[in-house]
Amino acid sequence: MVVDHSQKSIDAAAVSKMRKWIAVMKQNHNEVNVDTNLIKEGILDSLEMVSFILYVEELRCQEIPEALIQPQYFASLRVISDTFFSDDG
Amino acid sequence: MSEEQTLTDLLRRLCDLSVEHAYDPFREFEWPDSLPDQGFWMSAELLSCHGTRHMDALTEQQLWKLSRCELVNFFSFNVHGIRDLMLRVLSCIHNPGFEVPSEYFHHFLDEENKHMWFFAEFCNRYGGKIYLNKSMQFDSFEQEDIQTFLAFAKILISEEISDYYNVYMMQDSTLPPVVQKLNYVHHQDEKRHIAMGRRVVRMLHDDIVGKYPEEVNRRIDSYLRRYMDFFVQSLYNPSAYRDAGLPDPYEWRNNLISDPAREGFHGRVLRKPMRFFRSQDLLQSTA
Repeated sequence: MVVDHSQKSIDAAAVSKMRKWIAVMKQNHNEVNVDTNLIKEGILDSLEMVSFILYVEELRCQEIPEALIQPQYFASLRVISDTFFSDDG
Repeated sequence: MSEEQTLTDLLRRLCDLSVEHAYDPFREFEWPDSLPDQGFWMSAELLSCHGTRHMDALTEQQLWKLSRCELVNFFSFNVHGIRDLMLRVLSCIHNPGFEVPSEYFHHFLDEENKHMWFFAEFCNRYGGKIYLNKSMQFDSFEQEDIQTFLAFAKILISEEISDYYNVYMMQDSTLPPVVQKLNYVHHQDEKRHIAMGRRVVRMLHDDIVGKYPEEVNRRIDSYLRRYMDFFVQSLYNPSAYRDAGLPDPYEWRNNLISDPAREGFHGRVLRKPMRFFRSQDLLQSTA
């Protein structure tokens, strides 16, 4: 099922923290916007993504189910916000 | 003697050793109904908090419980890693460029399948679970020959680091006998896998050396170093800390990974792979 993430409001606090985490991880990288594709645009590689997943779990105070550890759920900060920080996530 | 003949001879010897030392994992081990709650399942010196004030703050019971969770985590990590490496080797076996090692790859796959089974069996029997795999599979390099080189390099790094733990635990008589034996059996097979892996990694590196711009080489170098750190950091699992009853598992993880008291251990665990990669000019001498 294709989810239209554009209609949902994002969790601004979570997005801000994730954006800052990425900026620190990439050191001199410019901040990403909410719709930057983190994988396709090479923002995070496979190793960095594992650390990022753990960070998202830390923000949620909850482990992410294995079924959701898939590229499509971590495509952008907006998608991550919708999937893991919305009332439905 | 040519490099290829040397490789052929090595692989022939490894195949012969695999045949000579073949075993049936389904009969090899004695699986007790349960393991003791008193005592360590993983050597205390291998616990992710060893040497830190965080360890000093735990009771003996807490440390025993942590050791149970960390051993299951270590074996779980092996299960997932073996899956990835088997898939990679399967994609190469009997394909162009891998004619020479393919026969040994059959033994390798056979033995790795055994390892995956007995590690998973331990996790399920005594831990009630296999810890989740938090990694996603996507390529960080577009070039197929770089991807292949990195895949085998990561396999080698994983085997070298795991072997450090295996050698330590197989000699620790304070651990349950089945834990000692699993580590021993794994080590016996991994000695051959590492010997093969070192030659294959060198062979694959020869295919890419001088082929790409310096910027790509730097990215490869960075990726290998980061993979070594990634592997070590994977042994700090907040899920294991949670199961061990430790509060704030993510804070526990962050504190331990960055604790200066852990640097010496990280250095010891990474010494062999770092030495190999540097000696073969697979890594730059300085970071």
